[in-house]
Amino acid sequence: MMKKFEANNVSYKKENQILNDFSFSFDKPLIGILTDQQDENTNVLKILAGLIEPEGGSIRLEGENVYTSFNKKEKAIRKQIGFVFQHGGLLSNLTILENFLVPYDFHFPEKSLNEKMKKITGLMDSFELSGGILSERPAKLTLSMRKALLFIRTYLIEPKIIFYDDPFMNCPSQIKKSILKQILKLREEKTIQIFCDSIDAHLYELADTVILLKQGELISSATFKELKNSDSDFVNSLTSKILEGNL
Amino acid sequence: MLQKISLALINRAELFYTKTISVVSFVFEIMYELKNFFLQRKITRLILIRQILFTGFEALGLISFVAIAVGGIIILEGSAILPNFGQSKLLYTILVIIILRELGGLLTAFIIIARSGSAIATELGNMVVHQEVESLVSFGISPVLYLVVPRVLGVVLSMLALNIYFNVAGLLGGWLVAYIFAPIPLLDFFSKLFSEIAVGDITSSFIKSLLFGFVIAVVSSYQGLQVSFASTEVPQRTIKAVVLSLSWVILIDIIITAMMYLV
Repeated sequence: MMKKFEANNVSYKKENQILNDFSFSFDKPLIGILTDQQDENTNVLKILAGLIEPEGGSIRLEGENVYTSFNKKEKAIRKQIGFVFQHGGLLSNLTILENFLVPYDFHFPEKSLNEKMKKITGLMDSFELSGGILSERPAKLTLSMRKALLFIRTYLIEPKIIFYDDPFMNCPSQIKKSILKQILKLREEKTIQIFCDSIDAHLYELADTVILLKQGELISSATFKELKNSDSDFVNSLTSKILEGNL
Repeated sequence: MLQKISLALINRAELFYTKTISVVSFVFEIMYELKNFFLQRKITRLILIRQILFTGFEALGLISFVAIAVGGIIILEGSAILPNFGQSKLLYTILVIIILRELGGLLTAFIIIARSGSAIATELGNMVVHQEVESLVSFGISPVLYLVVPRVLGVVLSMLALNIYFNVAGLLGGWLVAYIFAPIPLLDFFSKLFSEIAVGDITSSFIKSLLFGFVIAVVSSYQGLQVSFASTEVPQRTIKAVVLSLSWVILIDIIITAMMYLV
């Protein structure tokens, strides 16, 4: 069953208005966000994921505020929210296996190492990555491998809501295919997945809903196909930009 | 003109107030997360062990060299100067006072600042830049619990152990030099030394090393985590961590030494 995840009157301003009185109920499994301020995509996702505290309003998962302040109750909330960063995020002074075990041990201390290894190797296989890299440090791996590992680390915790910041950045076609397969599998399992993509329209075309933001304000939400046929110049310009890969 | 000066002063005071609040809340957060550290041993233990290895074990060579050299120099200088005043018997007292009460803690702290304080600030600063800290937050792991508390504990424990080691090595260095010029059995040397050591010397050395370790780790971690996004901020914060740690260590040393004589 899908979790109840919603944004209520969320506002946040840095140099630009990133979100302006934004309210939305994320009730579909795969949701894309298109904004006219591409530089702020990451911030939009971070606010919705509870990594940046909004100036106004709240983001609630099953009625609980998701903004993190590390108390016990929020640990349970964070366990349900995953975030795949655009790049970086792997702990550079740890091996890949240790990188996986840090969040895994934190959220599932009761699981045995065998169980954890089984899950890790299963996910590594699905991304066609060799187990040999588990003992390497992130700096020794290629950008695309590191990107795939970010996905694996997030999936290990089995979050109910996953944010993807430019999921296909630095990804060769093989890894992109594996990511897509996982995203579609999770969609079937009713995991809410929210993404921003500035280089590829493919995921927007697959999305159940695409949210359109203009200066942080919700303009429209519809399928990508519906948006492409919109009469609005603003909507058309955004959809054609992403289709041309120029967003 | 006067208005401008008062406005600048008010701004400075506001900035100082904000920074003080930020540092104080950081220290309180460390205290709060200390209890969680033991509950989350599985993920924090590795960081603690690595910190002790780096700050404590890997510094042993440098500490040995400095301690033996300083102990030797004190004996050399003392045995050259003191006899001129007919005060040769004060040599042991001076060695104990300088090594145990003052230089042991101070020099160990300086070495830890140079090696570990700068390393902690640089490492944490780079972790912020590469979104590693944010990724911990995204998993609900407090950066203070996972990154700062093990470092604070590691530095405090290492500082304590290295200070004891420095004191022993420094006194041994003194004996080595004394032995070259006027052979004196090790037991005789140390029995004369121990007769000069008071409980207060050991207590102040212990308290100083605890506080020095805590301050170095907290200042360095705080400065490292203050990096916001650019890698150019990392060396700036590292320098700040080193300078502030040095200042705090000297200030604490003055206060404790003064208290030792006043109380």
